[in-house]
Amino acid sequence: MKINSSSPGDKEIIHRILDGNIDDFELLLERYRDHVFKIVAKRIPPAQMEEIAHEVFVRAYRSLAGFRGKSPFGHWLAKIAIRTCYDFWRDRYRCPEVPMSLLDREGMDFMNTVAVTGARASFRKRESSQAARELLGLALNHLSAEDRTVIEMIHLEHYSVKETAAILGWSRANVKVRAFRARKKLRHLLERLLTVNRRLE
Amino acid sequence: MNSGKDDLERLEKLLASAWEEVPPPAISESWQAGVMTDIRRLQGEPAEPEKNGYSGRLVWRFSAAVLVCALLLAFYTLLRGFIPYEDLALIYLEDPIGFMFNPPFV
Repeated sequence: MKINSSSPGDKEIIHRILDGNIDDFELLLERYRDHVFKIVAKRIPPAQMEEIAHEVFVRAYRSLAGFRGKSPFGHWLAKIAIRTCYDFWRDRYRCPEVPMSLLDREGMDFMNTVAVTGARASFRKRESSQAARELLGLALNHLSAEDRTVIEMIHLEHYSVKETAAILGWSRANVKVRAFRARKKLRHLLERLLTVNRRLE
Repeated sequence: MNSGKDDLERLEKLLASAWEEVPPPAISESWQAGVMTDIRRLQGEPAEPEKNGYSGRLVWRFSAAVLVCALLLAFYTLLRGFIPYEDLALIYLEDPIGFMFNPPFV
């Protein structure tokens, strides 16, 4: 997202796009592509990542006239990206394709690492990190789209309640209650996984 | 017991750091061209109204008022006593809006 001093600012580009210079949208695309992919990659399975990032930019284009410039364009785009990911999971839960199964071998190994040694150093290994991400994905898959999104925003990315409420269009009270309940559900789920893992040892 | 709690906390911390450590995604070369093709196709189409969830919040704000009204009505009905067939007979006999015995289209 590095912007040259000579290159036009976001607002200028947006004005040009709204005036009909559609090709200028590519400038925004180049500038914010990595930013959007970074957000999407954390939330969406790799197979659907490009499709969702595509959808984010299409939605951004369609709502471009609504961009008031009160916050930086990157923040505005991040909100659209988060909402698009949330919509993806809502649709996905409506018609679940893959039944959630027990942990695979890597997930089990990871649980062993946590429960037996707790060694952070080994976690630094690429394989272990990959297994942890898969485990997190598995745990999040057991939550509803709403719970999942609120966990991601509040507990994993440390958005404030106010910001989360604004992005998701919920009341602050709803965000607080849901964040608390979702955390409780996730903890319960992780506890169960640890228990299962201990029994299988 | 304590060890279980420790394990859980450790696991939560590890999962939170795993969240941060997502490797940079590989983007296919045709992806950007695909987005621009769609954008060009959309040119001239009316802009979508921004979804900010305001209407949803409005519904929830009014839901409390609707609930209070429903409770008051239920309370009033209980106090007054509600016998469905008697009330229906009353409506039929009194014909308060005059549509039973004087149908408008006859």
